[in-house]
Order: sequence, then C-alpha cells, then structure tokens
Amino acid sequence: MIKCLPGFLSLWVLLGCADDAYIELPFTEAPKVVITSHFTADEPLTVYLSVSRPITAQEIPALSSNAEVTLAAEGNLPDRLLPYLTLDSGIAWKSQNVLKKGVRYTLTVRVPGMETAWASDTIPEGVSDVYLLVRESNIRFTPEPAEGKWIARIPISILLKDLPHERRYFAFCIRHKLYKGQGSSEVRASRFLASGRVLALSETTPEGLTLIKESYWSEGGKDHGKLDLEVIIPYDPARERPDSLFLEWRTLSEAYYRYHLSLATQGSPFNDPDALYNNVRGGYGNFSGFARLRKAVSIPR
Amino acid sequence: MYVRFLSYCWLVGLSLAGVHSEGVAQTTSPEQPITIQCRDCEVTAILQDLRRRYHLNMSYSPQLFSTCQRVSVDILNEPLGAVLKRLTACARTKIEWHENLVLFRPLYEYTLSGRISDAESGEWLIGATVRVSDTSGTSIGAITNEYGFFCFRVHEGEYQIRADYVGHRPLIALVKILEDKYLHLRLVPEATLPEIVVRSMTKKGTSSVLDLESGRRFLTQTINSSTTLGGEPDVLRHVALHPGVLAGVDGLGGLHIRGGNADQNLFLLDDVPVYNPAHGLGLMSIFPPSAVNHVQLWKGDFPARYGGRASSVLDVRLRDGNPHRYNSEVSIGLLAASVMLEGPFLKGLFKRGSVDENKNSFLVSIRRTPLELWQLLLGNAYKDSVFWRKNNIKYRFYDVIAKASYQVSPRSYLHLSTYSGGDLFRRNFLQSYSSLNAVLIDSIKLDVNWGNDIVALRWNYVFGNGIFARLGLRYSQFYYESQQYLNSTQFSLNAPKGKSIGYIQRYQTLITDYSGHFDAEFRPYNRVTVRAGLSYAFQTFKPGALSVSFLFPWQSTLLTDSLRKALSNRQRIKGDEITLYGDISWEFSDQGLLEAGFHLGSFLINNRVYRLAQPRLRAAYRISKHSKIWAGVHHAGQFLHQVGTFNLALPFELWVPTMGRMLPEETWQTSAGVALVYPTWLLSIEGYYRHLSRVLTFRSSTSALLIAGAEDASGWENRILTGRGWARGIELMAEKRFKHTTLGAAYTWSRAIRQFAELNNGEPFPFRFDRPHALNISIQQRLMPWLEAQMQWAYATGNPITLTGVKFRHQTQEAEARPLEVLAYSKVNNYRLPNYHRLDLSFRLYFQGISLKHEIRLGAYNLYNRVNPFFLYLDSADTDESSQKVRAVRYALLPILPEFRYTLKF
Repeated sequence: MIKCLPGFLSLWVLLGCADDAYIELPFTEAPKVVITSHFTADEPLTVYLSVSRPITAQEIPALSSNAEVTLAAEGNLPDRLLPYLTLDSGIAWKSQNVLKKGVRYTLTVRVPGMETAWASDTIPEGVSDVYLLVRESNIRFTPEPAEGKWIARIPISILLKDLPHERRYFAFCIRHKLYKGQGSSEVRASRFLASGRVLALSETTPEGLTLIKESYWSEGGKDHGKLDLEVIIPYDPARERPDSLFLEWRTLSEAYYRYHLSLATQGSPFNDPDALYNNVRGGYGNFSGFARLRKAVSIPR
Repeated sequence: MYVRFLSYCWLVGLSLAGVHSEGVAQTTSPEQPITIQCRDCEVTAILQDLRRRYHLNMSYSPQLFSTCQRVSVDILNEPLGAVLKRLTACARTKIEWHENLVLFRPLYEYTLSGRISDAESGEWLIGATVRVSDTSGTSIGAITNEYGFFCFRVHEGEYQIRADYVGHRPLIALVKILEDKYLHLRLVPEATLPEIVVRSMTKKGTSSVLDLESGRRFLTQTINSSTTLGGEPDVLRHVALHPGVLAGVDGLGGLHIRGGNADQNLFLLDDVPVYNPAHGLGLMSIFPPSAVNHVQLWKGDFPARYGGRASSVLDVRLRDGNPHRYNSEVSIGLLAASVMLEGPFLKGLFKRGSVDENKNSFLVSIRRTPLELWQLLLGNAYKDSVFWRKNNIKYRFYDVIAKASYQVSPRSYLHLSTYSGGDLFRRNFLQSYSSLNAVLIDSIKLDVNWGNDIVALRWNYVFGNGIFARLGLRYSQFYYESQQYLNSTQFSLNAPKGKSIGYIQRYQTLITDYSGHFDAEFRPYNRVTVRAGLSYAFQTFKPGALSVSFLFPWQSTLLTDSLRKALSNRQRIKGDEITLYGDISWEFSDQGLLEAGFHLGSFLINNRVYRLAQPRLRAAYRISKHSKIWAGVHHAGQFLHQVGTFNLALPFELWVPTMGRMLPEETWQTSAGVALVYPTWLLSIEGYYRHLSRVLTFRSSTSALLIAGAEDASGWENRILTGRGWARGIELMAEKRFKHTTLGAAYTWSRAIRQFAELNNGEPFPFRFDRPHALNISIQQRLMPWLEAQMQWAYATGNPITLTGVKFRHQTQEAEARPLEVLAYSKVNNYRLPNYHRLDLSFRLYFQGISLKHEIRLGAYNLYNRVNPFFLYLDSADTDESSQKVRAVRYALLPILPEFRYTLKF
C-alpha cells in the first residue's frame, strides 16, 4: 500500500485537473435574422438568410418562408429579392438587378415574429489593376519522397498598380490548373509559402481567400504595393502537368474586412477570440461589398 | 579625517581672528568658585563679565552661542567648570581647560555607522531599526539597508545605541564618540525552537518616521509559516496573499499587481533581474525558502534605484551563509526535494589584524522536483490505463544556488551569487472526433523548456565618513522555447488511408544581459538620506515566433528541424541601456517623511535611442502615536516587454525589447493610504489609480496556416498590438494578534481595464486578470510548544473570459465557400469564470534532538476540493438543449492536494 502511495497521489492530482460540468448559457436571447452576403459589381446580389440560435442547438431552424427581403439603392426603388433553391438544396435570395460600384445598398429583411434586420454597404472602387508576375528563373520542380509526387514551386509577385492611401482592405486567392492530357484539366486551390511577415499579417476566410491586413502595405514607414509568394503545386508527373495560375484579387469594403478579421480568431482553443464585427442591425452576419480583378498566367514547362 | 581637518581649520581661523581671546595670563581651574548675577543677559555677556571679574583668559567665537536664548543667572560660590557647562549647554560646545586658557570650541561631528547581523546565523539583518540617544534624551533613528548597514551623523560625546529586529533581543550599548566609528552589532535571536514566527505590529525603539517608508517587508519566518502547496513554502505564493497582488489562477499566469501585466513586475535576486521567477508555469517560485534572507515588495511607488519595470518590485535577497559553523538542511516534499549546506570558508586564512571575526561564508542550495520519479512509478503501475496512454505528461524542474561571501576588511565585503534553474514540460496526447462517415484524429505534442542563469559579483565598502558604496557586475540569461505540433488525420470512405494536414508553431526567447552598476548611499544630515547611482547593461535578444504548415506527415520532422534552425540562426538584437538615478529621503519633522526620486533610463537599439524619465514623490506623516497617512505619485516605464497569450495549450513567453512598433510601456500611479498600528493589531487601507500606456498583447491566429506556410522567422512583431489600460482599487488589511493566535485578513476591490484599437471593436474590456473582489483570511494558532497550525481561506472573483451563448451559420454563394458556425461574441472577456475559493490547512511539527532538528509539515491545499477553473471549454456538441445548458469542460489546475514535507536540519 505504502509503495503505491506516490502513484495514487499523482493520479489523484492529474485526474483532478479536468472536470465536466453543465453551465447556464451566459447569454440567451430571442432568435435573430442572420444575413450573410458578399456582393460585387455587375452581378445580382445573393443573400443567405438564417436564424441565430443558442450554441446548444443542433439543428438550424428554418427561416419562415414569409420573409420579405428588399434591397434599396440610393435614389432607386427597392428591389425585392426572390428565393431560389441552391445547389446544396439550401435557399438563397437573389436580386433582380445587377449591382454597381459606389452605390450604397441597404438590405432589409422582415420576418414575421422577429425583429427586422437591415444592413448597408457599398462596393468599393478597388485598385485599377494588379499584375501577376512569375519569376521564371526561380521555378523549381522537386520530387517528393512519398506518394510518388512532385512539387512545383513557382515564385510569383503580385503588384498593385495604385495602392490607396487608406482603407487598404484586400484579399486574394490563387488557383492553378493541372493539365491531365487529352484536353482535360482540373483547377484546384493553391497553397503557398510566404515570409513570416506575410503570414503574420494574413488570415484565411471561409471562402478560401487570404485576407491581408492593412498594415502589411506599410513597412518601415514606407508604402509598397508588392506581395511575394511561392506557390506550391503537388502533382503526379505521370499524369499531370502544372499549366497555369489564376489570381483573384479583391478590394474589400471595411465591413467585409473587419468581419473576417474578427472571425479569424475563432475556431481554435489556442486563440483568444475577439468580439465579432457585426454590421447587421437587429440581427447577425455580414453584408459587405468587394471589387474583383482576375488574372491568369501560364506556367512555363 | 575630513572632520578633523575642519576642526583644525576652525582653530586656526579662530586664533588668526583672535576673537574674544583676551584676558591676562592666569592659571584657571574648573574648581574655582565664582559668584555672578545677571538678569536677562546674553551668554556672551555673562562670559565677558566672568572674564573681567576673575581675570580669566577665554577664547570662543560669538557665533558659537548665537542660537542661545537670553538667560538670568544667580550664582553664589559655585565651581567655574559647572557654571560654564550649564551656561553653554544651549550650544554644541566643548570646554577645554588649558593652563591659562579656557577654550570653547564647537563639538566635532563624526560618523557613527555600522552593520547589524544575526548573532547565530551571521546574516545581515535587513530592515532592523537603530536608535541613537544622547545624554539629553534626544534621539535619532535609522533602518538598516539591504546589507544591514546604518549610518548617523553625531557630535562627539556619549550615546546610547539600541538596535531592534523582529524576533531578536534588543541590543543596547553605550558608545563614546571621539572619532568616526564603525560598529558591528549582533542581535541574539529570541527563540530558536520552536520556530514560531515572532510578530510585532510596531517596531520597538524606532524613531517616529522609520516605519513611514514605502514598501512591505516579508520575514522569512512568516513566509515559512504560511500554508503551502505540497509542503513547499513559497515566496510568490506568500506575497500573493497581500492585498493588491493577484496570482492568476492558482499561480498560473504570473503575478498581477494593481492591474499591471505579469511582465511589469521586477523580480530581483541579489540585485539581478529575473525574467521568469516561477517553476511549474507559476505554481512555485524559483526562490528556495531555505536560501532566502529577506523579501521586500513595492506595489508601485518604488524607490528610484529600481527601474526597468513599470508596475512593481519584488526584491529577494539570498542568505550569505553561516560564517560561524556548518549547517545543513535536507527536505523532501510532494513537489520538491532539496539540500542546503552553509558554513564558513577560508576560516583562519588571510585573516587580517583588523578583522574581528570570520565572516567568510558560503551557501549552496539544490532543489529538484521528485515528480519525475513519481511519474516513473505511476507509469509502471498504470501504463495500460486509458488515461495514461492518452496523456503522456513529463515535467521537471531544478534550481541550484551557490553563494560565497568574503570579508575583505571589516568595512568591505565581496559577494558572489550564482543561480541556475530550469523547467521542462512535455505533453503528447490524442483527440478524436467521429461522425457517421469520417473519423478525425488530432495528434498534439507540446514541448516547453525555460530557465534562468544568473551570476552576480558584488562588492561593498563603507567609507570612514559613512558613505556606503556598492559596485556590482552581473550576468543574466533567460531562455524559453516552446513548440506545438499538431497533425490532423481524417479517415473517411473516400480516403481510407487517411488525409493529413498539420502545422508546427515554435516560439523562443533568449535574453542575455551583461551589466554593471555603482551606487552610493550616505547621510549628509541625520534627517536626509541620499542614494544615487548609475548602471549600464549590454543586452542581447533573440525572440522568435514561427509557424509552418505541412501537407504530409513525413514533412513534420524536416520542418521542425528547419524551424529550429531558422530561429536559432536569427541574428541577435543588441541593446545598450544606461540608467542614472537619485533618491532622497527627508524627515521634514519628527513625524513626517518625504521621499523623492528620479530615474532616467536610456535604451539604444537599432541605432535609435529611447528615453524614459521616471520621477517619484511620496509623503508620509504620523498623525498620532498609532496612526499614519501617506500619499504618493509615481511614473515608471520599461524597455522590455513580454507578449503572448496564455491559454490551455501553449503558454508562451515572448520577451521583446522596445523597437519598431513597440515603444516603451509607461505607467502613472497615484496612491494614498492610512494605517492604524497598535502593539497587537493593525488596520490599513490604501487606494490607488494607475494608468498604463502602450501595453502590449499578442494576437494569435492559426487560420492563415491552413493555406500557407512561413518561410522565415520574421513577422511576429506584426502580431503585437499596442493599447492602453487603467486600474483602480482599494486595499484593506487587518491583523490581530493574541497570545497564541494570529488572525489576518486582506481584502482588495479593484478593476483593471484594457483597450486596443484592433480588439473588441476598439472598445475597452476587462483585463484577463481583472478580479474585482479578492479576500484572504488566515488564522495561525500555536497549539503546543512544538505544534503550530495555519488555516487560510482565499476568495476571488472569477477571471473574465470571452464566451457567448449564440451562434449562427456563415454561408455565402461563392464556389469554394464552406459553411462556418460562427460564435457571436459580443464583447471580449464578457463572462466570468466561477468565483475562486479554497481552504488550506497546515500543521507544522518540530522536534529537536541533540544535534538534529526535525520539522514535519502536514496538511491539505484546497481542502474541500473546489474546482477553480483557469480555462473553460464549451462543448456545444454535447448539450442539454431543453434546459439551455451547455457542457463545459473546466480545466482546474489544483484540486485537493495533500501537503507533506519533512525537513531535517543539522
């Protein structure tokens, strides 16, 4: 017995460190309308609507089909949004007109029995152009010891033509096309390596975009409009060949930027979560605009 | 020598001036009877009358009696000597009788200085009170400094000197001052067994202003007698019982004093700054109790000689070791096992004629956790258990202290102190999540390693005129490395082999200091103490934070190695810090004390100079025999910062110097208080307000790693946010002492707020360690001469954390969008963990043999096994939907823990 005493004591201490308990929810409130929509110019507005719920809830409550969703633009009559069935069998609301830059849009959602929710935002003007440069002399193709694959390492530079003086809210995503022979190809999202500074000043959005914090564009008191990355493309040399790169560059509204910045601190017990940025009055979510530029370059063989 | 020279000059001057040195040559005798009458006369007029009437040859300066009042005399046939003595008593004069001359000269002023030590252990008694009284009953007082030193300016004559120190018999002696005198006073301890704490609310024999100084002293006996964790008395845990001091949760997260960050506390070990003063993530301090001589805490408003931190100072002094005999102490407890050896060295060698006794001593203390041994035992006994398989934990710490003190001369000592200590924490565990068609297994490995190495060589010398000079050379190194590895593998019908993704995070801090300092303390007047000095430090820093993601499990080893190389190959950042300071303490009356100080710091790094001017002013006044009030304002700052988050998975300490976006942190504090101090009880209340500028925090995130990886170790600076904060509070302390019982209570009401532009939508929010109410109640009872019991109940408001009860789904129409469950956090730190409280009970038993002393501690920490969580993890997947309750995993650090420690002294 005495021989086992240290063992018992240690087990007692170690097991005592975690304790399960049921606690009252810190905040309870009536369900609210949730609006999530990112919109850009020359496209109709698509809005996903849902209802907030306690974190104990397992099911997502359905939004009443009587919802009235309208989009008001400055100086124009409200556009009534119509529901449609999405590919994943969900319901989204779509405007009848396409949107324009520089116009302030206000979305209002009225659901019987719930507080009216509304949100406003504008599609920003955006940078006039962006250049995607491949530093061809530094491209490397290296074999990976496992799984018989190769990795194409393609250094690229993204250059902004006109860096704004303020509101440097940008996000981007890179995709690559793998040529699979006989005219077939596949486009995949690309991973990349970057400097520690780029990584420290970037966050990932649920849409697979990399959001760059505005402080990135000023270093040592000087502004610059350049972003260097090394795109990593794993491929099977027997069946595939990296063919081209696609860049989507977005200029974000402040609401878009701040919402995703606050969202990035969630999802990991390793982080201290920040307060969520919410620009929906009477509800939750995010209603925000962005301007988009797309570029493509071929990958040298 | 200086005083003698002045005296000589005075005599020469007097003779050259020839003032009032007239009369006829005649033998004068103090026994000569004289008769004189005068009504409302000046002393000099009476002297002239005497000279005329009795043909006396007198020499004096009229200025000598300028402070004397007019007097009336009616003397009939009294001896001349007695009459002159009485007449001139109003001035500090000495009458010298020569064959044909009576010389009145001013009393020479000399320096009476010395040191006070314990007669048995030989340790300097820091904070002892010394009082010097002349024959008229006028007295002056002083408190010994951190080397047991005191100093007075006194005129020649006979004095009574009295020295007091808590737990020691007062020492009273008569000294005749005819020259500069240097004393070594040895106070005899009142009791050696049982080692019951001797407490006194008032310091006997002190002058009225002595206990008006700032700072709170902690006796080692008091620290040893308080309740302990696992039986190990601890400096930091004891200090945390003081109002205004919060020790995170069960010590986790460091000390937070008056709303300050943990890095804003200056911990000094024999004058050397310690960057991380704790073992076990804060469970235990690095200061072994058997090696500590003295502890003093300033909760702001600290003397200007301390600098480099913005919030508080904890000055820990190590014992020098016993210069008279060899002592040993061996102890084994649940958390630590230690050995301490002290004794004289070079006894009899190099002994000089002026050295009255041997004061050369050494002390060695070695401490190590025995947990590793237990884990070994536990691992064998329970290696097949599920718990043990899933939680592979390894932890150990050690510290080694070695100190040598050499008496160069009675006025000069040389001290060499070294400390080396470190911690290692490893944990590997698996977490699995399953759904209908997939299984996700996370493999997590944590590896944390930190420690301090310190060397200090200090020399001090007492000059004949009472100037106490100190010169020190210091080396300090702090290292911290942590690595977190996560590999997440998903098995599904589509990928039966498993699809892996993972990332590695690595943090490191390496600080190396080489520094030197010189300062001097002296008393130009008895009511004024001046201390001034300067220091220089050459510092190098190698901070780093790096993350990398990997696609294939086999990449992890390569990437871990490359991360380690990338961080270790980083160029060191070099900085030079120069500080200059001056402290003056002025007893402006018998009841009042004014302290002023100025600390100027200059920090050169990356070809840029940062400066901090830190003034300080404090006044204290005794309004009655048993009550005092005080108020002060203090500005402090620091060039070094600790940034980081402290969460369940990976606490990390990233110490970074002021540079680039990180400017010096600064605080302004105002405080005021009142205290009633009676022989058997005390009550004090103090309020404060503190404003913090440029406080830092680290914004952590791993989301970018999902699609990218870092190529180098740069970038961590960009995750540091700069903000501000403010704190206010009221601190109450009460203590009542009975014959065998001591009751104590400490209550703090406080608020601590932070504000960062990039957090909480720019709104202020409660500091992570904001705990409005904190209460500590303690009872100490002497049950038998050999048995003592302590009980302590601690309560504090729960720590704030960020929680929400609402979630929603984020979903957009974009092609690669994935729906995301979003938690609608409305504010940062908007929810409080359950209130913290616990009860500790401890018994100390003493036995003494012929040459052996035994001490046994038995008790329990957190007696009623309160789960005090420091982290709460909500598991929304396992909830009771009907009752709106959510399952929370509360991670508590210290459940009920037995206390046991056996100590053997010989």
